[in-house]
Amino acid sequence: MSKKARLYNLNKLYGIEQHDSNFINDLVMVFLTNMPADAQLLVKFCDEQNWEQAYFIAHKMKANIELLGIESIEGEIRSVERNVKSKTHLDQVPDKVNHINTIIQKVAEQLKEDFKE
Amino acid sequence: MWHDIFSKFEFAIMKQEPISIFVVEDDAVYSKVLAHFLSLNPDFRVKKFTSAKEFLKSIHEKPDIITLDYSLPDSTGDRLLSQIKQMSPETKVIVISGQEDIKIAVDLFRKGAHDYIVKDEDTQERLWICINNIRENITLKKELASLQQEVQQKYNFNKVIIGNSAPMKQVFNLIQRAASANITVSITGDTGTGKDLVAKAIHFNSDRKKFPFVPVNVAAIPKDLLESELFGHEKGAFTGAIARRIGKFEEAHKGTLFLDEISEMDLNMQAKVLRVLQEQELSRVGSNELIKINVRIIVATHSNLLEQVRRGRFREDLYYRLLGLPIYMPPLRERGNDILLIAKHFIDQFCEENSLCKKNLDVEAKKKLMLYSYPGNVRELKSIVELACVMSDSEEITEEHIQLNTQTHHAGKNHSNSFTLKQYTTQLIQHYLDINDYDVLKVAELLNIGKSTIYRMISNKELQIHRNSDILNE
Repeated sequence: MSKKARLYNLNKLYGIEQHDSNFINDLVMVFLTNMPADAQLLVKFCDEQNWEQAYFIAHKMKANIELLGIESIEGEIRSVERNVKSKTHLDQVPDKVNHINTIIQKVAEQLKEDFKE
Repeated sequence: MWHDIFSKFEFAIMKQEPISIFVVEDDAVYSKVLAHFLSLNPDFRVKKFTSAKEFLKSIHEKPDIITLDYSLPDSTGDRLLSQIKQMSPETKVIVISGQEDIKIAVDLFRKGAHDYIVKDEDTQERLWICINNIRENITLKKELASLQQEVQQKYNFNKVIIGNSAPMKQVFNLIQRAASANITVSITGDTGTGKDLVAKAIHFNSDRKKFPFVPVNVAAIPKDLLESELFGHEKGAFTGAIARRIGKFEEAHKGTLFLDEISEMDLNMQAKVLRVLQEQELSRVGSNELIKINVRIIVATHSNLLEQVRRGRFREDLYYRLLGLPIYMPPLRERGNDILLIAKHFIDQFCEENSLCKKNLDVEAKKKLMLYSYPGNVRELKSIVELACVMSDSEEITEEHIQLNTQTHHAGKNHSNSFTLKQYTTQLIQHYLDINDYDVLKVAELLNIGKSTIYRMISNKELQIHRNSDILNE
């Protein structure tokens, strides 16, 4: 695994299964299939002001961001989820979702690099 | 961290049944993590579903537990919960939600959710604990059902009360009648004849078998405590009554109350019991509140209740109320070949319980058992054959392994009218030998018989010598 600073931290997953690297690999693959696309969808729904769908996707992403230990955006995803649900401070949402999207794409790159065969 | 949790539950897991768990979660990553995490226990059979539609196709499998994501793309948690409760009411549903919302949680609990867990870093631990609690519950329920069945089997009276002698056939007939009706039963018989087994057999073969069987030995409870023992008491009813206590009558509600040694109850208490039986209601000591009871009463005594009535020691009105269906347990000495059947049963049971090889009685041992009068009845026979099993080193139990309790044997009052003169003579000589330290000359002199007669009886093994000295060499 690269020694460069990483935006994610898999300690939680390793806490669940210390020995089964296949499981971690599988999980990373599932993450790579879903999360970058979800992050883009979140940006799209917010652009379209489709708050209901934006909430649904933010809610789903929150658990994964925590699980993958992407700490830099944990606070942001929570506040986006809260804002789109209560429809408050919506003006701050676009910046936050763009930032979340950028970080998720970077994490995906890092994961691809770290978990390539 | 998870490994700590596993080891915490390791003991609980060991003897439990496998359970099936459905993970219903649309998020691929989270569902994979949950399913993987739960599969770490090899006894958990986990299936994943990513949509409500897909999941509902498999609900007919009636899993033990479902972990349900509250927000699914094609259904909401509460709608799905209602559907689950309709189609598989026994399944426990744990709702997992990304939102901590008290209103939603309360609503879900009302609809029958077992637990509500919020997705955060403690989710897995909470889920693990929750599933293990459910599992324990399921195991206990299954265990309870199998134990109830076992108890019923155990008190299947044809298996528990052994015997096919004519007097016992009559007893079986009466037990059957007593079990099928809700009548009070009074059981009489000498000590050790198995009156309690009859009471249990009646209860566990009656409609009341799913409710408690509560035995009370009246003779074993101090006179002053009997009232509170039977009727219960309120806190502060008397010194030492530090909390409310439910009495045996209430404990036996819808079941059977077995009052053993009823003749030992004092007259004052008899009046109180009579009132309860007549009114079908009682009040706890220290309370005025009347509590309705529905209890079948079975009483037992070794003494002659009618005789006690004549002597004024037992209330006549209570006697007639309790008489109901009388069952007389015959003494063992009147049960002929039952002695050998019962002996065989106890030998097999004892050998099995103590991992001994299977043992059989030889002809002489059988004769010896058949000739004895058993003042202690079945209880005494049990201890005699158990001792014989211990004394015997081989598969055979011979007459020398059978050690009869000659002290009680000669107590006098238990002698049967069916004894022959020879048996009486043998018993009398044995008694004199026992109390004179096996001094043959002294006994011969005391009984005015020839010493050679005694020696002959000893060598014929009609008499037992329980002393270490080898008397035959004298």
